[in-house]
Amino acid sequence: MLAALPGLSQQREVQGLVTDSAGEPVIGATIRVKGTDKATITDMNGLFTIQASTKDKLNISFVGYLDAVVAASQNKLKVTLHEDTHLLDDVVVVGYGTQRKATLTGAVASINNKEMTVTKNENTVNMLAGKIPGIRVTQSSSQPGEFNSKIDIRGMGAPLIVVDGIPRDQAYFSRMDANEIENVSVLKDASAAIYGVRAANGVILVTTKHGTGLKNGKFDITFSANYGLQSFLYLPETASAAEHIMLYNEKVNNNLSSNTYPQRLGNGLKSYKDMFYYTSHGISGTNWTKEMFDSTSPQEQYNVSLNGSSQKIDYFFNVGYMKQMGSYKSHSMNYNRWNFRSNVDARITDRLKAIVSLSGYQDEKNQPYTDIWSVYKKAWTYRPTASPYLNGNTDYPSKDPDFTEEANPVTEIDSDYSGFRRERRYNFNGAMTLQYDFKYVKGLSAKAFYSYDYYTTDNHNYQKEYSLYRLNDPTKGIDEPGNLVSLPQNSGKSYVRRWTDPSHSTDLQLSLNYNRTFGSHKINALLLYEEQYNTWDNFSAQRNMLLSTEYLFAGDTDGMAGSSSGVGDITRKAWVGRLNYDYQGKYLAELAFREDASSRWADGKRWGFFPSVLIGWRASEERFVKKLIPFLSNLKFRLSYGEMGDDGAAGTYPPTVVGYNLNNDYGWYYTEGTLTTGVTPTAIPNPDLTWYKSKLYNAGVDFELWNGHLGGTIEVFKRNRSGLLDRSNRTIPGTVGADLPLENMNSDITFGWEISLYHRHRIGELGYQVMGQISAAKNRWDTRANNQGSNSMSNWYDVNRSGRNMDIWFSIEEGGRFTSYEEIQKHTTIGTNYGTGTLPGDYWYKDWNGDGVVDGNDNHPVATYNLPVFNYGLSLSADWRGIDLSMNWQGSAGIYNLYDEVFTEVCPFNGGAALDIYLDRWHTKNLTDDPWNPHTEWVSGYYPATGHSFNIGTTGIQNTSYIRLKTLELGYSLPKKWLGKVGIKDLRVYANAYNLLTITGIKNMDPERPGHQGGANNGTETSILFYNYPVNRSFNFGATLKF
Amino acid sequence: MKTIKYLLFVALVSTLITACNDLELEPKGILAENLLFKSEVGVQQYFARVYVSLPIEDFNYYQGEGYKKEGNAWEGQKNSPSSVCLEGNGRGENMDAGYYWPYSEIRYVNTFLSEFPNYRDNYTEADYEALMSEGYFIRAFYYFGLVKRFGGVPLISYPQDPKADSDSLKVPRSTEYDTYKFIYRDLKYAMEHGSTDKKRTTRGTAYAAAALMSRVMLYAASSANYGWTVGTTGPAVNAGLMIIPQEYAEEFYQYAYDACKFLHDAGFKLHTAGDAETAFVETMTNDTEEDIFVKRFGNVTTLEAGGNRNTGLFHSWDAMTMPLGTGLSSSVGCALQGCWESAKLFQMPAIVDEDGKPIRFNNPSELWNTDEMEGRARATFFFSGMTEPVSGEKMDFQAGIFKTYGDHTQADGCPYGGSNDFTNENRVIGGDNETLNGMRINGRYGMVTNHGDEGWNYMGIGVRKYVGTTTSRGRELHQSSTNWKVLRYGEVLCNWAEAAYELGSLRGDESLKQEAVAHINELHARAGARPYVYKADAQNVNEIDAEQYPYSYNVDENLQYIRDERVRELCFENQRYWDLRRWRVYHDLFQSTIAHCLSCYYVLDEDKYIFLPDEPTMNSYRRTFYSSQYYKQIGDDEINKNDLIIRNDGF
Repeated sequence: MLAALPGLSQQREVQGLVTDSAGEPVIGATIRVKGTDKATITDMNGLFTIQASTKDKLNISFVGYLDAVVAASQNKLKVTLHEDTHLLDDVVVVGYGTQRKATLTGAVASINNKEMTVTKNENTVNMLAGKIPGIRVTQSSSQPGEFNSKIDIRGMGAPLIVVDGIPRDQAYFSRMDANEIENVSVLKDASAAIYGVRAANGVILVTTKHGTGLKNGKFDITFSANYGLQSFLYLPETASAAEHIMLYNEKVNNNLSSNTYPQRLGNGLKSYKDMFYYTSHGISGTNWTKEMFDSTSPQEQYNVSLNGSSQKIDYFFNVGYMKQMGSYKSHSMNYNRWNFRSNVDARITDRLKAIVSLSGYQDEKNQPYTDIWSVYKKAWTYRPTASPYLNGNTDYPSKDPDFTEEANPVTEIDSDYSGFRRERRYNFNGAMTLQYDFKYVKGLSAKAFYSYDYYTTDNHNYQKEYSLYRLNDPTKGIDEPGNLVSLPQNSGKSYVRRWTDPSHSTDLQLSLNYNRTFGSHKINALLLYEEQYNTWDNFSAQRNMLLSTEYLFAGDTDGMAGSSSGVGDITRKAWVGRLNYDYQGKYLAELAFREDASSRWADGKRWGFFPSVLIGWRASEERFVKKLIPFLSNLKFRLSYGEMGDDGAAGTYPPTVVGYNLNNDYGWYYTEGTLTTGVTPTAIPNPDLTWYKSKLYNAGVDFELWNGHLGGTIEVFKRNRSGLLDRSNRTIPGTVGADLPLENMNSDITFGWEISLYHRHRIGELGYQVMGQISAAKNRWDTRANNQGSNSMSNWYDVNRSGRNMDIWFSIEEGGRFTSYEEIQKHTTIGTNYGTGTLPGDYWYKDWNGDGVVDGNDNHPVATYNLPVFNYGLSLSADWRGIDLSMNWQGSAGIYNLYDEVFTEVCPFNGGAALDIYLDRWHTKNLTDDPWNPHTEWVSGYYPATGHSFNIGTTGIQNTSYIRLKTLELGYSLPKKWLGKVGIKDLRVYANAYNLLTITGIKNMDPERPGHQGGANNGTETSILFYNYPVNRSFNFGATLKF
Repeated sequence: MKTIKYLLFVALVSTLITACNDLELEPKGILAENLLFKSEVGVQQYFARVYVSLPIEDFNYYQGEGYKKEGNAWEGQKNSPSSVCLEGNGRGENMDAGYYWPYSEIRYVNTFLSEFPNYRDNYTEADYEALMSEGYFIRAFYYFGLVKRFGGVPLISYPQDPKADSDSLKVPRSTEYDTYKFIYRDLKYAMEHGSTDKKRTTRGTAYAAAALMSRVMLYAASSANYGWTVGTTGPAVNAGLMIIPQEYAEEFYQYAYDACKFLHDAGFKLHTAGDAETAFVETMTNDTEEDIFVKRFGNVTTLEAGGNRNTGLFHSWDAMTMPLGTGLSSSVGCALQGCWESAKLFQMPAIVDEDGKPIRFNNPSELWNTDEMEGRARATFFFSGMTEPVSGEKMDFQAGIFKTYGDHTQADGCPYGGSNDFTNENRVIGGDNETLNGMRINGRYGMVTNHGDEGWNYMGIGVRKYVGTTTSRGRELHQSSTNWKVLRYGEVLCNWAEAAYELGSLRGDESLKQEAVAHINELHARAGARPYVYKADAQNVNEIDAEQYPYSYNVDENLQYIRDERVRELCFENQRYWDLRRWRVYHDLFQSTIAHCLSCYYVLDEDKYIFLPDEPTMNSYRRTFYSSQYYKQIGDDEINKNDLIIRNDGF
């Protein structure tokens, strides 16, 4: 009745200026006269004009800032908006919905676009490293287009990745354009259970940007560009020719079995005379890494995005392009990618809303035909005494007799010579959502979502015939008639292979939502039906090429081949239900279930029920707590329990009957030249096979003090999986001729903790925040069905037994080093690495069992395998008058690697090159001293005398823990008053460094370089990944421009 | 109204989409049994796996290891069984037959044999029986691989259910006799019902079954006739699990005899064409009417392209046996070479005269370029001076130069010199391209002092059998694709001769013995060798020359000649290793035994050539076969799982 009262007061024009705490005008802030419909927004200069009476109150709001309320008592107002650092009201994306952070009951961590994109990298997975507690990331290479970082949540295995409601794999997520990502949520506990049969390892939810925050008819165009220069973080260098001859002779002489003292001329070795030739002429020989790799390689990224609104439509459109050049001097290795995404939200009626999302990417990875590992191996093993070109003439790549292998690496890195491997991927996705709010039941809405996804690859391998050259008489020139000999390489082996893997998938979700508050009771309920279908296929074709062309059609039909492998499909159906209850924002509970069905299991074992319960108590909302600790802004205790399933270890189809797989390993020529490929039977059926089940327990505390100045989270968790697949240890005679089928048998436990702390503050114009987090996770066998060893000792060595921690690395332990002949003479044990060939500088090993002999029986736990046990990160950011600084440290501890070959041996592979690090070694005082003479004087060094490799026991197993400055960024946003004049809303320029600084205990090695064994690999894997393309350091420069 | 319209639309779309997906999916990429068994093409696809895994000792077979070698199988030639029975010489030193327990393959065949009758209606009676027969042939082949190693083995004739009670799955070993009889029944079925299409040489026809029968039954008969001579005793012998009682020898010889006759009556003949040498080369490298069962090999590049490299259906025979050289081997080379022990069994000119002195030749080719040498020998070996037809390269294996040899005999020899000794001694050997008085010391492809055991010929005899006769695929590693003759009529005649002669001896029937010699002479006719003359008063060879034939039982001259015919006809076909075992003479013959060369020397002062049987300078292994090696021990692994298994004796 008195609503008209304000109208009685005198209305007049009120003018105002809205600025942020830096004094910059805020453009587009909404000014609303409280209690009325009157509103306006600020212009380019942050100015507004509105009609109001002196008694009116104005509410000024802008996304990302706290609302300000001012009295319109004066005609000229100056309003400062403060950034919203109090994040409790933030909305967090959870499975099939969102929740307020304040009342969240699960262990869910999230980061937004800004936190993510501060790290400049081609791989979104690498952008997460060190930023989210419980996430473990190891980057094993920076090879363009390789995307082989490893990621898991809390040590639980490969997580489910869901992008805008559609299940994806890591390959897709890695290739996303970070600019289109709104935020990433990580569901680490029972909150993931709503994803049922695929959620046992946790879920990463990615939400892309939608058009938001702008008023009718307004739009932003944002253009951003980033240019980076990449260089290898750590690239071993090889010793010069003279040093190589010295080291190799030393190696031969320091090894008792090849020692040639005093002759000093090993079989086929270059002699000291040759060495003097190189030193006296000042020739350092070929530095193969310099011949093959550029010291810096460029990387570029460009983005245009459009964010806008009209009457009924909000839209977001983004197109991004990135190009990354590899290090090969030939430039034959590179990667480029196009991404696009268009999200359109349409309000069809007041109650019906539609969202149409289209997205896709296309990328291309190029590399020469020869594998990367083989190239790096050659870079570090080819002798400096061999030459890549005849007389330095780059038109004539040589075949030098001093090569350690057949090929010439400078031609192997060049597609123009040796051919190429090209991989292209294409992905297209279209999705539509319809959402309807019911008229007669308040709070009830229905939603339908359908997505169609198409993915395919277009791969092309071309091995090419080319020539290397040699001179008949090296003392004569290339032009001398008949002197130049052309040596055909890959002769008769030129071929082209093309293959493709088309696949498509669909996802349908139909749901009912009920969201309503009754007084202090808030209820949110969801019932959802989901259906997914995924099918894939592939085929390849190959022809031998007589003509020098990369096109398949021109190939020879003789010897032509085609094949196909890996066709299949999967259907999944699920019913999902969830009920959230919130009493006064104080007592929180969530009950959820998922009834999941997978075509991977046989009828009868197909459906599974996965319930979860989460409860929370916000103690800080209790009056007595508020009284007791007035500066406590939040204190929440959480407990959760959830059950999940996993079908990842199962085959595509249920093992109900014996079928037959085509098996290329078998075949028979029934007629000349026509191979009939064989088949092998599938496993003995076990129709009872079903998913294994995870039970996930989590307890957490969230707290915040002094209104956000200090806050944090502490979590402890345990996951118990049961029904892991294994074969029964029941013995059946081998004459049966078949193995027992896989059954659901074993169980394991994963457990650990996480702590994160943050501090945010603003002092005058300086705002800053610090966030630190650390987490730990371990795995243990709970029960494991396997045969007992023949004695307790062998049981002890076998860690794969009930109750044993996984990933334990057994080896012998280094005891120290011999520093003199006397120490060698008086050494009391025999065995490993000790004998008549031992020299000063050599290691000795602990006789752990005290039997006087160092051997396999002295193995004991010395390290762990797999992704690091401890992961931590520290983020710092600050801003002052438009200048912003961000720093992101990431580290891990409890990770070990064993390297091999060039990294543990001088001149491996019969006198290959030596890395220059080995110059720091134990050696005799004079080159020609007899190493076996006890009177010889030795000079100490970091590495032992070079006679043998040093990868035994803990000498070889290196602790590769590290902390690394992943990101350092310095940015400057130009003042808006300058920009406004030229119609620009925002302009920020920045300089950024990736992997700028590393602190680690390991010497002469990048700690993330994979080893021969250990690292992110599990215990049984060994690999040659230590010849991987190294991890990068990059310096980036860029700008973001918003119109 | 508008809202309802939208809602209807949503409902309609949802229903349409939902109806599409089914949880009961027809498996893709998996072939159902009925797809495979209801057509002959499907059955062939099913059999491909068990054909390629058959225990065929082909080019890639590595003595002591399993069969189907995947990928790089070059150790097959390096360690060929030929190398341990002195058909040739290489790095082969392992006298062990290798462990073999192919019950998963047997299960696979048993699955066919028990399920295929359900598909009978899809075939004519003859086609159905032919395919069943193929299954029986394959199963018999696997059991043959077992019985020749272990003696009696558990006989599994249907696919057992692994989930059944463990005890019910345990099957004890059958006797060796019963095991051979089991194989006999399978092969008999296949002979009677199998396909009679002679062109189907890659499949188990009635003829393949008969040829295999002739071989297997000789093994059985030999075990019965001679098994006892080794003198092994113990529980397994008593239970009949190893060694067949002698009384059954006649039965098995008769089965072998009948199978050979079956093939003869079916019209099989030896391949003949032009001269003997050509005929024999063609027999081994071409498809001929003599083929009964052939394992075909293919082009490695094509196999790799199709992802089929692991079938192992390619080999390196040419690259591994030929010397390194343009047009010859492009890598490794000479990993297996001939040796005098086998070569001297062929009809060839003498290399010593009656006084034991080396015969002087004007030219090394006088050894082989004469009717004195049977054409079969030239088709089996390369001798110094022969021209390799594909490359046109002359196989010059000259081992060195004697400055003088004088009046010395081959046995007392002319004092040799040390290596590189140009001055003091009579014999001179040298490195690459070294000369003496303008004469090359070593042959272009002969032994030189500065190379290892590969790439150069140090035995004086090269391997010619199976070497490819076309250049289309080069002679690189893995590039050979010559087919392997698993069963051919040439072997059948050898089998027939042996079975007939042994039957004649057992029955005292002279006519059978003479028939045996007729079969041998059929081979001789094709080989370009003089007919063998039956010796009615044949003596026992161990009485004539106890040093050369230190047998523990009597073998007469005729039988010895019939046995030796197998070397002449089947050299490098990996039969002799098993022949020596089944005759139970291996331990007698191989007591620190070493191969010998046929070294060709130029005698400087006479301008003549001589041949001496030197001991090799490379791979001079002394090989010993122990009587415990006639049977392999059954693996502890199997015995631990099945307590009904009795171990073999003699270990």
